[in-house]
Amino acid sequence: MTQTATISQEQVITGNQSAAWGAFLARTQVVAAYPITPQTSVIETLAELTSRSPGRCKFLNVESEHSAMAACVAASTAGARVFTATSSQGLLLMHEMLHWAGGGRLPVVMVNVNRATAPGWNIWSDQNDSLSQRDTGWVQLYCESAQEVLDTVIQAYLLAEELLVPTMVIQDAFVLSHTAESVEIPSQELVDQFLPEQRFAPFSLDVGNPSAFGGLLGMDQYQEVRKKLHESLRAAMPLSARIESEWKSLTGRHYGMLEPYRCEDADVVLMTMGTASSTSREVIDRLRNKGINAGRIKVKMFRPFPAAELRDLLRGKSKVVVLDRNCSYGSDGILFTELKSALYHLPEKEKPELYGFIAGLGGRDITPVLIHSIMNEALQNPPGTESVWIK
Amino acid sequence: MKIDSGKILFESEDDLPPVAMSLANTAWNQTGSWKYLEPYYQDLTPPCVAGCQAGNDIVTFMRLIEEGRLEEAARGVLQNNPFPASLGRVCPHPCENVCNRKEMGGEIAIQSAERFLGDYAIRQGLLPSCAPSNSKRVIVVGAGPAGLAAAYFLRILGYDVTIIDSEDRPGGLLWSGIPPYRLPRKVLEHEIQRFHKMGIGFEFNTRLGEKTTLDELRSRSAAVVLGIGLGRSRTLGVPGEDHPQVIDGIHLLKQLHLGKYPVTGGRVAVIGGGNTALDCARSLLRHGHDVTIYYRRSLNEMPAFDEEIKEALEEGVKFEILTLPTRVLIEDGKCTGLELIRMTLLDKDDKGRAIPARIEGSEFTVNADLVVKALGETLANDFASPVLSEGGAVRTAECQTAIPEVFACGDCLGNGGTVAHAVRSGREAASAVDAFVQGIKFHVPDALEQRKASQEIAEFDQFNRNYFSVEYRAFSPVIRSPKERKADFSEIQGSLSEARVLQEAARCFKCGTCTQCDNCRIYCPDAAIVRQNGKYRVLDQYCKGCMVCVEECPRSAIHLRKVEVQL
Repeated sequence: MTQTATISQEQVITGNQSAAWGAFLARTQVVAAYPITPQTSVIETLAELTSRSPGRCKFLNVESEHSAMAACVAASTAGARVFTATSSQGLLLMHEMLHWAGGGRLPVVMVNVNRATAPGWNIWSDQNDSLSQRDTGWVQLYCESAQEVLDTVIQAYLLAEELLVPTMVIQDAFVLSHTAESVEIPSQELVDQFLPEQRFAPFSLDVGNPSAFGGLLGMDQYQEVRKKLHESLRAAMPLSARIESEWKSLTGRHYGMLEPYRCEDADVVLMTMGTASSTSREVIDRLRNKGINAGRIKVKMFRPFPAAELRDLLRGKSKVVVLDRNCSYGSDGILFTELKSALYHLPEKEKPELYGFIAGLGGRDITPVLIHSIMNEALQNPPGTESVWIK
Repeated sequence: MKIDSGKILFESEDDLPPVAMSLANTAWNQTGSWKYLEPYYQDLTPPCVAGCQAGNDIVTFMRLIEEGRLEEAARGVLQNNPFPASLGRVCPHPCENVCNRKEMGGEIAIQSAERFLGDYAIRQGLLPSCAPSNSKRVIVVGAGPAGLAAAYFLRILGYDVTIIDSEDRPGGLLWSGIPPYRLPRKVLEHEIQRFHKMGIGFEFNTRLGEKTTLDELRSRSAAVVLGIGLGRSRTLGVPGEDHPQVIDGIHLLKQLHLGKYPVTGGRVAVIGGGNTALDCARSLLRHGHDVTIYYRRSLNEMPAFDEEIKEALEEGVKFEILTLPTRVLIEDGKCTGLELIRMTLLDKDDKGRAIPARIEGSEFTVNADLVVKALGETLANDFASPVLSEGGAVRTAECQTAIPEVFACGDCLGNGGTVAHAVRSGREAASAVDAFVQGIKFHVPDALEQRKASQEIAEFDQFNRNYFSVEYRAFSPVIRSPKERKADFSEIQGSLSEARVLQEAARCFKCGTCTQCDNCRIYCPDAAIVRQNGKYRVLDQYCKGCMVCVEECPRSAIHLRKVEVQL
């Protein structure tokens, strides 16, 4: 790895290394993290990068992920730009502190490497760890490539600091976190131009004007303050559009919080999150070659959930096929459920038939064959009321 | 957003901050109304101070030593104690026996600290601060420790003081009774020098009843203080006791210290178990005698200080316990030994001492060329008895005798018997004189009272031990080996170094005494404790009575009480 360059450079790096580069270029000031497979190399890489610039970043050794997030909360309250990364059990251990960062309106940025949850121990990918944190007041952004991870981490700071909401950048274990691909690393100058210095929030800790934080909030005020959090999260979708267009003007890269692929004239639309989005592009092309009007939408932003935008994209389609690499046990695939809820408000004649499939838990590969088979399943059969578990 | 008496009122949702945070202070929230208990600061009496006869404010001087304020510490000691360098050597230090540090590394070396400060005061030529002369003269009879102490405190109070004494030098039993290996002459001389520097006058070779009379002294002064000691040795009441080779212990010690060595011969029998007996035995040992102590009870009952007994045993003094002389053996006009009878111990008397009883028929004889009687003393002066009216008026706290302007102190009152007791008695007599002359209520000022400490003793159980760790007592000062020390009269025990004394001062708990450690202020969850001019004040309107301060006070200087509800 080379020193920060004044011009962008191309390197072959993993998703984890990309995440570290993103945090480094964003001039993260405080890092508090605890190692867990498959996150470890994020922090290792970041440590290596920052070690070449003494004084640029403070690393805190902590004894657990709960403390890692607690330290991030504290540093962020003090006005520092902070970063951490975790995965699976680590994220679950943070749960209480995730609420604290959300309710505390702290622009913490965290990378979560999607890994299945124990028991049975399993270090491979699925999305249950992060999706089970969806109600903690964090923005959640699911990436499909190393380049997207790098770009998204930098963008996340702008988003988080503008809205005063914490933001989680999410990538699949191993297939993304540990897979090296060609990544363009933007220059520090470019990132500095895009991302200004951390502004102190109006409620940052200020020793000259001391305040108590996180104290009692009575029943006459709690709900109103929480409503402000909800409204700020809802503003993330339009703000993201602005941020992305700015990023595009500097780098030429744009992802979209929802990425439709060949959807305009599609009759049947596949819904994916994470790396399955890349795999499915191939399948859509093949179906198109067979004369089937298929399309695909990648849901990058899961929180806030872009319900209105999805209604517009899916209005009038005949079939929508949801691939969930997760399950809300006792309910259904999580994206499937959310989408069903969003589409409910479409007029009856514009409502697509909805198919749900649960696949790829515990790191099982989501192959083109698998995606092809669920598309066929949806094309040939009437929809069921629940997600179908397929191998 | 409005602010009403310190409270913030939000008028709309827009007023609300995005997070739960304080926008103003909570001074409006007067939590003081919640309490039913309240804390109060009250220093207690440290057990060492309660145990000190001389009235040293030990905790205060330990604090000053710890802060490196040695001169202030020494000056403070001098204000309460005329002989710190001497007491730092000869006092049996009851203060240490009751020290709360005992269980956590050993009692504090208080006596060593006192000695250090006493030596410091000598080196620096420090004097106590005395009130300006009030031109009233007090005559003290007797330049022993009690008389000297009375004169010292009277001078501090502003009196012109003259001491008369039958001897040709001051000090009384301090020089004639205590051997130099326990109290070097130089140290004593320096301490007595202080009296001269304070302007206390001495008239020597002036025995009351011979060179002068009580009436004459009364005519010359506003008050007279008798510190005449006891002066008459108890007798054995056995045949042969009057033989010239049977001598009195106190007389012997005095002759030895004057350099008049009246004895010849090798084997010595010392009779008695008090400090005088031990001092005689150890002094004669240093002159090359073979010395045996005969005592009618066992070692446990010996009134001598434990250290003296231990050191005497180390040096080779023999002990024949549970023996009582019945006859002095005389052959051809010479004393050759003693006949003794074996004793046994019966039940304890009402003072807790076992009663000795003879074992009939157990008589035996021992050889001795010299017999020393060290049996204790009784009041000697013939004139003193009617004045002191033994068992009568003088035993009131006011130290007043049957003659109103004549007061008494020290051994002649029969209280105590150590130098520290003499100091206390001298202070009481000085206060009594002052009360009499000024026509005010008798009151003995003590150091703790001056700093408003209560008389309640600070007990270890009341402390927060989390703030103290086990720290071991400073190494004992160097003690010369028995073989080495019995060859001469040089001092047995060395001094603690300044570093060690500082270590001991830091180790001292400062029982029951606020040291402004700030724990109470720091831990108060309502910020209801403020520090002003080195003192703490509890803000009544905010203290909610949680008692965290009481709990976190390491040394029990804060206490709780119920809030009295005003109806």
